[in-house]
Amino acid sequence: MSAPIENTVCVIGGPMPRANSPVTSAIIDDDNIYISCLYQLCIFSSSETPRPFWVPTITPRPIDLRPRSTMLAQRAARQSLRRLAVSPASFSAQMTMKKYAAPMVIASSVQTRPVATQKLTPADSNEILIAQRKLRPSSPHLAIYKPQIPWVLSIMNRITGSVLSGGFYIFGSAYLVAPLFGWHLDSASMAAAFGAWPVAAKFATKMFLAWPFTFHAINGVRHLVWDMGKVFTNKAVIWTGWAVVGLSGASALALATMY
Amino acid sequence: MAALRTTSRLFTATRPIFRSQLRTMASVSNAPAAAPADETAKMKSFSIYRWNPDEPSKKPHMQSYSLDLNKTGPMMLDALIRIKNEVDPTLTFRRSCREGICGSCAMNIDGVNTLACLCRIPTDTAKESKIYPLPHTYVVKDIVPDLTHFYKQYKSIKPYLQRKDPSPDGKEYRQSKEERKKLDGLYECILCACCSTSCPSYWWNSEEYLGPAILLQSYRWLADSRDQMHEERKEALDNSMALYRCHTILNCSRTCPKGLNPGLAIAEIKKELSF
Repeated sequence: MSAPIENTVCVIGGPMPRANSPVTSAIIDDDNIYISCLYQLCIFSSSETPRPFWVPTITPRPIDLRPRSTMLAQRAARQSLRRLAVSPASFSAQMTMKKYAAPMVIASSVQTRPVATQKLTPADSNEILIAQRKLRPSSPHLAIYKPQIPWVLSIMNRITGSVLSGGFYIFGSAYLVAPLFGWHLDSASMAAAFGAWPVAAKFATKMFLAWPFTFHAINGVRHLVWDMGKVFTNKAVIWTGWAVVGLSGASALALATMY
Repeated sequence: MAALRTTSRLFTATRPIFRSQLRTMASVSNAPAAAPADETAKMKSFSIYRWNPDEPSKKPHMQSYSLDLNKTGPMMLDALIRIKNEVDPTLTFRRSCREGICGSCAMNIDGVNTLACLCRIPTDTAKESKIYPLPHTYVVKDIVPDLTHFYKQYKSIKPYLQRKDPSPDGKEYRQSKEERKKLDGLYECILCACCSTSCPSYWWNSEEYLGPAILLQSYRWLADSRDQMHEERKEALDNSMALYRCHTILNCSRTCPKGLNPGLAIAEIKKELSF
């Protein structure tokens, strides 16, 4: 449905539309002129000129009707019309307006759509909807969401948990089958082998094992507190998050530099 | 209205000469957004997600628009409306109240879900603002997401007062001030879906997991002293998916444009179910 146009017109003569009622559309065919105002439809015969014809109280002035970028052209046309529709025109101006200018102005200023409405049964429109749904893309998510403490720490919690439990299971099963393959996974030989490593490698390995543990443990406490329904304000979630980052980093560093 | 309909049918009789003067359908303007009028113009560029269902084979892409912030209202919605009015009428988005009470303009702005009407345009003009539809939703067009499933989930929790007994005085169901106070922070939810679509759990399990918005609504009825179907409501939630896919990520509380706390509401439901 087109929006009602703000442009209102005064009407002189004949079967007139209600004065100052907004024009919603105007159509001109070979025999008649149809002018639709907000509350009524008036039909004029174009053969019975000039008497029962309505004349907007405007003075003629050139209006650019060239098709342009549609919205802008429409607005420009409407604005110039509004500027024109100020004072009652002289009689002669009205006479010249009568036959040509008025219909042109009306036809160009009112909002009409060059498409016919198509009627669809509910079943048909449902089918269109189903067809369209099959093609709808899924909007981007993880890649575009801003990195924020709540979800970044949550995914870290899950990753560190997987690393810890995965590492535990892998080492545990390896320890179990070590005698079969002749591996030396007992503490004494492990410690001896590890002691021979360069300091940097030792430190990196210790950090790699210590940080997931400290992070997961401390963040786990945060989750336990949440499970009691406490410390849920945004502010608290943010500062406890950063506290977990700081504490886990510091304690991992302390663990890694022991011995 | 009758008049309008009559004319639209009559329109087919229009003389072709008038058709050339009539308005054509909306099309993309090639003109630049707004040429900087003076040195004081604060041009800010907006990169907006576009996808048109009429050209389904064309992949979604980002389109950039730039506006002079001096001539634009303060909110993101003002910028969007201005782009639609003056630059590109094909840009499609939902909006209604422009004051954060209808929830229509929920979208992802600069990586965070929020209502465009409550989100100020960042004044840093050097940085481009990015606007996406709500994350992990099916896109109807541009930044309009399909929320059908979300509303169906809302319906599934029976969001209305359920009583077994009539009220004692036969008139209304009374509530003490303390009981009423429990609903504060719950009844204000406008179901904009910002929280649900910010939740990674909801992204991966939206088929069965209800998501923060709907769970907050569930709690709104669980917390209501007048409702008498608490046990049935709890039973409906007591399975591995509907409620317990919440892993307390808390993106929901962080993103809520109304300042509510869905994360806390979910924690309260979990407590009610376990004790």
